Amino acid sequence: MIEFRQVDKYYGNFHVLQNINLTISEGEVVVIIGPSGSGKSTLLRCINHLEKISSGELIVDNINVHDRKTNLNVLRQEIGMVFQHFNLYPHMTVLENITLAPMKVRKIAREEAQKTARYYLEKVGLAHKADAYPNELSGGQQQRVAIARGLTMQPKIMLFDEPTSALDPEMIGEVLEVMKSLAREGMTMVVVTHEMGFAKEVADRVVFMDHGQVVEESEPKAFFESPKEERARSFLSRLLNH
Amino acid sequence: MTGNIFSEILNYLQNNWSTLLLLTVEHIGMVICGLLLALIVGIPFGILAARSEKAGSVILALANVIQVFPSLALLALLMVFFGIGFTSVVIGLFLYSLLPIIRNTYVGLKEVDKSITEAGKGVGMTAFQLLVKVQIPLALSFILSGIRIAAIIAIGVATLAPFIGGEGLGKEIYSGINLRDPVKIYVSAVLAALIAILADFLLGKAQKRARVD
Repeated sequence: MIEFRQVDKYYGNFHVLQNINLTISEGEVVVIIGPSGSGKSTLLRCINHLEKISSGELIVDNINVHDRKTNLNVLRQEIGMVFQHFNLYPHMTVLENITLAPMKVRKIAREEAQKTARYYLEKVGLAHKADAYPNELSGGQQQRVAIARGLTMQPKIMLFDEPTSALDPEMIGEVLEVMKSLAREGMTMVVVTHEMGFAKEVADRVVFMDHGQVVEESEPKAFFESPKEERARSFLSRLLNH
Repeated sequence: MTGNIFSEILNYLQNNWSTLLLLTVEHIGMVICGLLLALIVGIPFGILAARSEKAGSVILALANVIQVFPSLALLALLMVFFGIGFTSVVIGLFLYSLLPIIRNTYVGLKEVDKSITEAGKGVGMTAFQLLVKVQIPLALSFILSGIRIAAIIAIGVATLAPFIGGEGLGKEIYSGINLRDPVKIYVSAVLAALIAILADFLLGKAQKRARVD
């Protein structure tokens, strides 16, 4: 579903992504962890071309993302993204937020788009907030709306960029619950997070990044109990000591 | 003495209300024409300026140059090119309204959080869809504030219209000056000021309503 082949990316002289080789199959839940500045978010943002790669190949849903001929907007329809700061449209109600892309990009009729939107709102437990504005919702609620917004496009892949990092601790659980149920339903998910509990529980694979490199890739149990690489070990021990 | 002037003003209003009404309507008409032109031209330029740094610096510099021309001199110059009357006045008002509208459109669009548009971009919305559905609505309060400034400037500048053969309340002020008639001057000046205050109030309200927190 997603394949990085020798992908490199530079910001000026800064080598953000170094020779990334990573394959993610359909239905897989991959959690990317690592210290801040290790290139996790950049890696994620390359998948829907919010960031450009400098060299190498990136194939998503059989489309070469960084080929000039690729129609990005067609590719992006199939990829939902949830951001750290929710990024809801502040001038629109929850329902309008969710139906905008389906109506504009997929050209779905308003009625049908609203029906689908309500279905997913129900799913994230916020059916009663359809007519509220984002600033009337808590952070956890906003993030659940953002997830419903992504799902209403019925994407093949969902990307999560630190979805719980901007939330108060008591709201993290509600967002993770939604993500867990999504994972159980077989959605292909790539999640950048610091929530190790989530990684242990639902990830099929953990990818550990440091200094722009994929340092270690393994099953969560193996990774957390006996990391192979020294850098991964020291990262985990720092987490535990906090 | 003051009581005297008061009754003189009332008297004047009673005898001349229909002329004053006509002049007021003409005054507002010129301002609206100038503003509409400035909106049609200024908003696209503001959008362009916000999209490209290079175009932006050129556009804003040009609009600034227009603004520093003294208003009477600008009107006189326009008269040379477009002749006496309505057209020259409207073009003058249009030019004067451009800068606040371009600049506020530019600033308003720049203020829209990039990460909010990214959410749309990430699901395949086109730049144009994002502009219409997300960026302009979020910049609207800034744009309205530009229109508000432009309207107040234009209402003031429009009082100079009679110097180049235009109509409006300036005509009454001008004739008041020539006839050394303070009542004429008071009444028309206060009317022009009232129009400006009203425009400020109404556009201020619209601006508040458009604001998104």
